[in-house]
Amino acid sequence: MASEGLAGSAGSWVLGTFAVYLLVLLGIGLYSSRLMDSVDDYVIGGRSVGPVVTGFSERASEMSGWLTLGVPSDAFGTGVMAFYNGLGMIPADLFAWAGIAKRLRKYTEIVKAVTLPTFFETRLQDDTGYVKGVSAFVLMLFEGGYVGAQIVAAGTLLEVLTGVSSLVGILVGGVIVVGYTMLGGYFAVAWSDYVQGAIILAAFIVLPIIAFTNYGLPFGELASAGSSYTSVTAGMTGWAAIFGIISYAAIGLGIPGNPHVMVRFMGIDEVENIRLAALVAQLFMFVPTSAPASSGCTRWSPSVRAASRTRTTSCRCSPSSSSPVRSRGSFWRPPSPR
Amino acid sequence: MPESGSVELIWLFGPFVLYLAMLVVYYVWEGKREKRLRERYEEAKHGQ
Repeated sequence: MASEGLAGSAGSWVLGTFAVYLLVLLGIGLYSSRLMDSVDDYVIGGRSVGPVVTGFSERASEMSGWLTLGVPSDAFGTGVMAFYNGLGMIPADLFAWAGIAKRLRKYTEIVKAVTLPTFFETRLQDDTGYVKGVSAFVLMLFEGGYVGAQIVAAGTLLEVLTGVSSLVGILVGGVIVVGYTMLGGYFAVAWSDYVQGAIILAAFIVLPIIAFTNYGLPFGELASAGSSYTSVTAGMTGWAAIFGIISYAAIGLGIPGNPHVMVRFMGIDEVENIRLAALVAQLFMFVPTSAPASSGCTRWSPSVRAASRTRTTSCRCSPSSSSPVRSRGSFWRPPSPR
Repeated sequence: MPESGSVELIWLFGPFVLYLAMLVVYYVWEGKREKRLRERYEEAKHGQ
């Protein structure tokens, strides 16, 4: 058990909220377990999940720990360039909805495939079992790592906020997440994603408003001081700027074909609802790709810097670490506020 | 928000405005395509 976290005395509220949240997930899992009649129900919800839940679920499953922890940290270290985390994500997701969703939904229904390995096996007319075996192995390997990273992110966030060992959050969160998934299958996953998506959306609408209301906009002062934090290329020029932007846009390359996205396409109730689900998912996406970056940028507001300076006076920081200004072209990253 | 003038707003939000336009185009175009396909299907069904 570590000392006090960033939340200070509000840490017990954070832990309580986390516990309630996990109980809600468990409740969804238990309720969904009563709806299971077949393998189809368990794996893809019997293709009966509506467009709004599918749209939220598709995005909430994709907008994982990188969004809640990574993007604000990126804005914290890079500045407004962190907005470009959405640069590749949004069009790649639209491409997946427009180019893959309907085809996959129709084809898997016709050939009665409920998993991606079965889809590939049927599509490639393989009767040796190799295609199914290899795709199942690849899926388990990389999705396992991906899911594990999300649980670790939850544990890390709990530790940062409350000081409770990350191992506690990882174990408790992991047991609950695996538990409700095993209990309720795709129904539980889709509906819990819907709840999570609603929380993400509400939080990312409110958070920047609170942050900017309390701390103000730091951009004017930073720009007048020549800081790279107000530059969309983080002060980089030429090829460095081009490759910087390309690397941000490349984040989206993983979406078309992502197994946890594809299963949402397969599980939607009607083919004609895919258009509406795409609209919900895309509109949802604009908020979570920009709000965390906005929140992270408030770190450079004068009042936040003052608090940060007080907190870091005893640390072994670089002499310029208390300055909000980073010279153009510099790759120095500011120290963590902790 | 006078301070926001110090950020390269066009470069920052321009891509997102473009994406919103792409979404509108997709939604309208896909809707028309679906309607056309449904009409063709109905015609073929009644023609049999």
